[in-house]
Amino acid sequence: MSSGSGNVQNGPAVSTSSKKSLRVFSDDIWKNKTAKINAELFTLTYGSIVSQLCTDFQRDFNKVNDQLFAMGYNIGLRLIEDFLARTALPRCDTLVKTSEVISKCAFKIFLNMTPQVSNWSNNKDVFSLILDENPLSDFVELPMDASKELWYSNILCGVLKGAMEMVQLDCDVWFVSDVLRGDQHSEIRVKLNRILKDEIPAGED
Amino acid sequence: MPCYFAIIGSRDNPIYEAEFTSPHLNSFPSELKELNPFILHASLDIIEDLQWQSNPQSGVGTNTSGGFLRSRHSNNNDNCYLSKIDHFYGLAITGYLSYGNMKFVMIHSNSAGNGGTTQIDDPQVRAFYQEVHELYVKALLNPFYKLNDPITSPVFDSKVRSLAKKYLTK
Amino acid sequence: METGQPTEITEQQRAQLQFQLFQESLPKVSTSVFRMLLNEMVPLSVAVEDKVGENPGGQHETSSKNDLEEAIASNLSLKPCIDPPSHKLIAEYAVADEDKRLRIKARLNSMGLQIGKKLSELLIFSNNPNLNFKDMDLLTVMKFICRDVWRQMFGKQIDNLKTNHRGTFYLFDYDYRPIQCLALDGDVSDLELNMIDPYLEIPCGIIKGVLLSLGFDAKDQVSCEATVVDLPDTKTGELGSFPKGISFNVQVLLQ
Repeated sequence: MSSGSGNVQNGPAVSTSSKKSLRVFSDDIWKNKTAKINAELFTLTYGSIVSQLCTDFQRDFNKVNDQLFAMGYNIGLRLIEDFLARTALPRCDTLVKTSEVISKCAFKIFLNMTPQVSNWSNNKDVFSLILDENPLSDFVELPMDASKELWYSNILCGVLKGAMEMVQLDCDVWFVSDVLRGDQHSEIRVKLNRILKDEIPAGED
Repeated sequence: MPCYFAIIGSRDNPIYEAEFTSPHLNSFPSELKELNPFILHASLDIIEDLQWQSNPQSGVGTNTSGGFLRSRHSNNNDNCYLSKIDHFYGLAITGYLSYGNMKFVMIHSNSAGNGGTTQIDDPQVRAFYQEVHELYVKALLNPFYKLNDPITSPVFDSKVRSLAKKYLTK
Repeated sequence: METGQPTEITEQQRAQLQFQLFQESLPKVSTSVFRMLLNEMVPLSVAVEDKVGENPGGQHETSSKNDLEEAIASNLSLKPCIDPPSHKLIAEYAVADEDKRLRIKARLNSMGLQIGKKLSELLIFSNNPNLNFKDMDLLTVMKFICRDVWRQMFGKQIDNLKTNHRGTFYLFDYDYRPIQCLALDGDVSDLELNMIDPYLEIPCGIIKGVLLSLGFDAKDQVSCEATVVDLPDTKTGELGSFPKGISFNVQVLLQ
């Protein structure tokens, strides 16, 4: 497996200032520097996890949501290392930039999707990720009893939360709608609470 | 032509069934309609036999020496497609078998409804089965669907019906 | 490099090529997130066990509780729904009592089983040139597991398959990927071996599930357990990789 940072060091200087270059940069990583597997295996594996949790928590879907979040959080703590190693991206100085990196780069190089960033709050501390596609939940249909309570892809919120915490961003991340529940879009809301300064540094700088 | 289609699970349990008709076609003669499930069940034995027969793939370049009633076009998918496997008073029965031992079977009725022999349009029917198989595999990806349970999803149903329109009852 | 390219390719090779192209055309995700998800199932199962484990008995709750509270206290947001970090959960497994371990393993096995049962239909989906009905005997199914299932799930094939031709199979993997990240130095202690134990339950469940879905589905017909084995001399482990191989022992009762 490629060990990451070495690959990108001498590539064209990465300028996050230009949206276009971030996209091209991420496409290149996805196409040329990422080992891939069939998305269906991923869907199937995640599905077996969710269904096991539904059984274990006796269809208490709030508990399932929490557990998926917790699982994602623990993954996020480590996934960020992988991400930084692969991309060697510099620190983002605004949440707007962070959101671009998440949607165009992180989602792209891990899940080959690019959610839209939208619904910014006036003071730019809350935004939404609109998922047009979602390999976690392809072909999934929620049973009746779950359709109002289960956030099937809640692991994504946990991953985002964990990963951002590692780069000193304390955020709340939650689903506000999901096409599986019959909503128009699948939307994840991200709210920045504060930038952590005094914590143990996690990563570069 | 009107068709009656069913998916039968590995324990000969029904997974899904549907009747495809369209306004400009005769539907099944009512006296036969009730027999459909029985006719299908009778054909399951034949499928089981076919399953273990020699396969056209096994010898290179011997495409034409395929097993009983096998299609000549030796495309890999013919591993699964069994073409016409049985007939019953002018009705034709076709089958398709997945490796997971799901049996897809269909009764085709003569459009004229006059009891004449029903002709099978293999490429069309094969395409139908293959796409339904694909749908079935997608249905498996739903973690809330348990293997061998009946498929009750309205989405699945409507997709199968639109495939039927495309390939069978147009 | 390619000098002696054969001018004609056989029907079988063409089918292989077609199959490969088909595989490549399918939607993809990154292997590393898939691996992470797969591996995270282990700490997940421990965390779930901590929450629902003694449901019927409802008795002892142990040291893990402290970790949990600690984790919650140090949690930085308002939402307290996080677990101890994964490595603590795994360590917790290693020192858990036998019953708890069995329940955690059963949970992992069950998830593997669910994957396996549906995996075969997904992988075979009508156009795999390596298979056809005529030869679908037990040995072919085992080879399918060693080759296709393993390659898709774990990124490599099984290294060696042994059988007595009477329903007993040994599948040797000398480089079982999910535990390579747990690379340990030199000798492996019993405690560390305990820690890899649960990682072997998922593939055991998968093997069982695949066999089940391909017709070996009578009650208790299939059993599978994994043991740690020494690497053969030819496979001296690379530095930093897990110094032991795994043998998956499959027993299929033939009727």
